[in-house]
Amino acid sequence: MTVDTGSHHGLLRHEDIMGTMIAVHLTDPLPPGTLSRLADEVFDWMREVDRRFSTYKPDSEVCRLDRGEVELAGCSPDLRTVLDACAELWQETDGYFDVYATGRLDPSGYVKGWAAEVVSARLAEAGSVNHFINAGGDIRTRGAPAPGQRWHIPIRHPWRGDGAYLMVAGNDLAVATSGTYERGLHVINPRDGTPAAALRSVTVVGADLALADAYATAGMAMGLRGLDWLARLPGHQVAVVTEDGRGFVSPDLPQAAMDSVVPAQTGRSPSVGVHAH
Amino acid sequence: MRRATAAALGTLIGTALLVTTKYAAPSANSGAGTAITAGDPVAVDGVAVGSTPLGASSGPAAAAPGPSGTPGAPAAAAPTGAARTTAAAPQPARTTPAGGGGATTAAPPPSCSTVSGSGQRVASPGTGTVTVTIKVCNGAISSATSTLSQSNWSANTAALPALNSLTPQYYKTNISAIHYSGATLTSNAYQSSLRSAISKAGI
Repeated sequence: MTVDTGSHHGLLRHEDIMGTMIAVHLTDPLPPGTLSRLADEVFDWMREVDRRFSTYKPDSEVCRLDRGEVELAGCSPDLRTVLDACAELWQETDGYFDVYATGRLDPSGYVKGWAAEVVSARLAEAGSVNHFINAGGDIRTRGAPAPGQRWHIPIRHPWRGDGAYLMVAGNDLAVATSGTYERGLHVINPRDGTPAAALRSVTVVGADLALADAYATAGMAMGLRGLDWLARLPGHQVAVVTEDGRGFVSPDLPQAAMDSVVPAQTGRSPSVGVHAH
Repeated sequence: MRRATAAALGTLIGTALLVTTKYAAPSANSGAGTAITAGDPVAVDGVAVGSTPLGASSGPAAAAPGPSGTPGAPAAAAPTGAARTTAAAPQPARTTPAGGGGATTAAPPPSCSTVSGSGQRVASPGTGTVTVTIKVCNGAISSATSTLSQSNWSANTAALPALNSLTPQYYKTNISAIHYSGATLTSNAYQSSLRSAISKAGI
């Protein structure tokens, strides 16, 4: 299902792919036909990534590699790029980011962010330098929703599904959140094979969504030890909520006060519905 | 290669997050007839917004405001239907004062009880469960609170120099859900615990 929403500034479209929702919001002053074509390319790419990298589709390249039906050398350059990056991350995270954490090849913790990162770069190259991409809760923004403004990205509240606990704001951002609240304890600690349960929500903000996504997953897998590791990630800011309700946030996290939010991307009055208690 | 080390640098005051949603405030002058409204998602810590006490002489219980157009509130989603169907239960009692004669008399004292339910564990051993406690007055939910049980971890885990501690607060924004980072689904643990409490209360 594809939904175009015309009431927003620019073009806003979302579609269910990869078992989640992919949304794109283009705000460049380009002709509607151009924006529509650019959005088409975004979703074409996301569907292609899903076909090739899904762990749920038996005929995907990832599944065929996992079953040994193809050699790594015979895989596509994209898959090799992804697996190389995952191998580096495995080292960098001391083994906590592990595509084999569940016992079979599953690079999903990298692929979603990587796919959005790739398509964001393609959009910029094609002339869209003001856009927002949400790949199942992992977000890449460039430019602004409107001249002089910042993108505002609410971080989903760890216990309540209809609101935020934090508002990240900026222009060129990669914001990835890994949480136990949506899909349950889906992140496995590769050290002992148990589900990672100590952290409820891990948000990593940086410049590259593939990395931010992987770091959020790794931090989640580390549990409480991940707090310290996340806090020291160079070039990134984090926000973490533990399962027992304690929150931590980097002092330099680019955020907006909740009561000063101008939800420009909704096109509605800023006075409506933004409350802080 | 970076080693993840847990540096215990002091005791952080544990601010267990309490997700508290109140479905209605018992009215000051009418303990029996409790208007059941969906908790305003903006309200935290039990601040009920928009509840309407039932007037002694006025219309049906259905006069209470509805769920006030706030779909998606996870706390409100599951119980609303059940709670509202039972809201009519106390009505007959209130309209049959002992003296008769149609006088508007004070409502009988409320008969309230509290019931707790714990559904699925929110995590593997070592973390805990969500416990939802509901207050039931004359067959209807008058309030609900939930707590997440404290974990087995030691309390002095890492107040970190590079992170500020915060109490996660809840904010309702009008920014479209597709702009959120994180999830969009509701908390299964909360809903399962709430269903358990409602089931125990027999309402």
